[in-house]
Amino acid sequence: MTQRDEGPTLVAVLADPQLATPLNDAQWSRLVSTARHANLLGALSGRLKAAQILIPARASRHLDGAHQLSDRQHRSVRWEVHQLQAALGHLSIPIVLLKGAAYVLSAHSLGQGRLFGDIDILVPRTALGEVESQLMLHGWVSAKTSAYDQRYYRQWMHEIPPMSHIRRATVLDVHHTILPLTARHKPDPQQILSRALPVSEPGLPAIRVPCPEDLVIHSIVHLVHEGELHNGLRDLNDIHSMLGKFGSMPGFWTRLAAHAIGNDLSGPVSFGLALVQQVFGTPVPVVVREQLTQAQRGRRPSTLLLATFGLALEPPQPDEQNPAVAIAQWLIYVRSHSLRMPLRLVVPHLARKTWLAWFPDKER
Amino acid sequence: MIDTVLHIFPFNVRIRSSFAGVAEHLDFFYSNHPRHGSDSFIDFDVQVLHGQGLRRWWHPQARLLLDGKESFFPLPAVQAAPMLEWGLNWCIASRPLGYLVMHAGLLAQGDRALMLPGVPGAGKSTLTASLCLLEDWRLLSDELAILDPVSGLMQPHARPICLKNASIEIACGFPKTRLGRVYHDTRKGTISHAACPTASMAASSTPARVQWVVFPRFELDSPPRCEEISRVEAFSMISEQSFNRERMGEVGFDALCAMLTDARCFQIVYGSTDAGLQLIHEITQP
Amino acid sequence: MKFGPCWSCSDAVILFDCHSGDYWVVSDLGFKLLRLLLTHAEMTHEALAMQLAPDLAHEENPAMLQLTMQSLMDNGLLQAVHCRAD
Repeated sequence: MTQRDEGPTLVAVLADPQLATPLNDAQWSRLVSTARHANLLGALSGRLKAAQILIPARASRHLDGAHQLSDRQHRSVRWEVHQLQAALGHLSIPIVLLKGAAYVLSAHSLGQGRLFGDIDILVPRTALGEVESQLMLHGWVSAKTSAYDQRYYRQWMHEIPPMSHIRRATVLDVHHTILPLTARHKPDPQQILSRALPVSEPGLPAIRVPCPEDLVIHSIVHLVHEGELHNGLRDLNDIHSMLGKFGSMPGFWTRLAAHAIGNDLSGPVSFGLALVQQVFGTPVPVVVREQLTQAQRGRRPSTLLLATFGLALEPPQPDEQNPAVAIAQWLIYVRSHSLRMPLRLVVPHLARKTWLAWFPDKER
Repeated sequence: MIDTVLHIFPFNVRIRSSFAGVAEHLDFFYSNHPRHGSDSFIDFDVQVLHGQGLRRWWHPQARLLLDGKESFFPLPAVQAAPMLEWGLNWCIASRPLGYLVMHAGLLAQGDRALMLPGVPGAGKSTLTASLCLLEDWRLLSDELAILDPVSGLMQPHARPICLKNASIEIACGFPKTRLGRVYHDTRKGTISHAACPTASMAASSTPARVQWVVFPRFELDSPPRCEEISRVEAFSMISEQSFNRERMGEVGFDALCAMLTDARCFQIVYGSTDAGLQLIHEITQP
Repeated sequence: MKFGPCWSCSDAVILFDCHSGDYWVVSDLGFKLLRLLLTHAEMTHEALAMQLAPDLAHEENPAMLQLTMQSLMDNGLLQAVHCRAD
């Protein structure tokens, strides 16, 4: 929705950077602030630069600053991946980068202007013990030390607890599958591992990235199952960008549908494609949507759920707390937990999280 | 509720607050700063608000929000104005805007700057205050040395000087000092603020190039000592005091090296304000 | 990897790793050693010692070349120069 005083929305400008040309100072201010909130300031900067939009000096400082930070983080991620090669290379297993790290190392120049948090890798489940040992030998330690957290991650989720490097403080998430063991869908991680591709950067023989179709599928599955959506719009923008880059590759859409259906993920992917189409207007071939719907026995993505996500993903306006947005976000949060864990596990887990939020020192 | 946009070079800062103490602080210390309309580009949107719920009345709190997000623990309501100052420092140090920001006092004579990097407790604040309130050095900043990598010049950032504990009494003795309220029992002890001198305000958008970097160390009653140090050593010590050099990667490294190339670096030890001023005089007026 | 400026009043140089953001303070001898390794594709220990002979002549410790190389290796700098991760 465009309001005359406030200028075009962030999503609108990302889709059509020319909309930023006639903006006044106040409108630039709002655009920059919204983009920063949605963690899309670097992406916005890249989009505006690519379209050669003239940006006023004050706004430029913010956009350039975000882009500079992103470049720095890209370098840092590359370096971390080299450290992973050094630590794990001799184990003769594939180490598949996921999400942000995969974008940096992929050959498709994805993730321009993006900021990164943790580094995520996927390894074969059988190698998990060795991987954890080697990482510890090279200075990574488990970041969650309570017995409860250790159990939460290992037994129920799909990763060993996050590990952080003693000296560098970077956080590494080691996954052995892409959804929690307790989740409704049961994708086989071996499919991602077997389809993964080597990286073009020299000196990284053990490192892999998912094939383009799996990159998109994983990003969608992660978003659709995610409870905390403060990076939701950013992640959806990643999906939108990837579909823009990969959509014209011969056979891409066919493979995307086939991989999703073949890995028990037709539901989430069908929903994700509907969502990115709704929010960003991404062109998705009808035949793909139909194939995924058929695989779901004719069930289309729930319009109510699409609307809830759409609302929950809206970038927060600085001084307006839209209660509908807050409710939507809460609904998504609770839903994500029920997707990841059976209800009997959800309630005690959420209760514990609340307890710790109130009394952070009282960890038993 | 006050809602005003201040131009505190080189930034536009919108300040909203429900505290009378903050309004008073702005009137006292920022009355000469240009005001912009609410339709200008805002670099930092800061709010200092009352505590929520029970904490509005019971052990009342002050909260600081940047762009609507609360990133600090609340402080006692009586410290709302110092919270604004500390909050602004944090905002400028942490938001990437292309500047290399270092924890240092920064003064100038003409366009030649003196940087006093601030190891905590070393006496940087008192020395900075003395130089601009007792002598005729122009104050660029008492806390945040802002370097523009493109021009290689230090940017002035005229704000009140934060004084702690004993230095408050010392500053009271200077003729040009205009002291604000005194706050007790803060996390830094007893603090107060001295207004940025008028002459410094007049040149508040004139940058300067670093000519001298002096690492001060106050040791009560110690005989004065001055030692020139290598730029390599200065680089290491300043790096420890820089808020964002690492995040700025190669650009930050090059900028800091370039800044040091034009400067001479010293370490001084002094036991009194006068001795400190004398050492600075010898370094900068040989 | 890049070197900081060679400031005249100093006997050390800063070495900056653009990837990790780390920096090291390297002695003058260490700096010359690394620079030789960076500019020559192949360098034997003998050739290195010969090139650095004028600097080594001022050193009190006859094993200074080995000590410097050991220190550079312990800090991962020899390997980093070898990999040239740029």
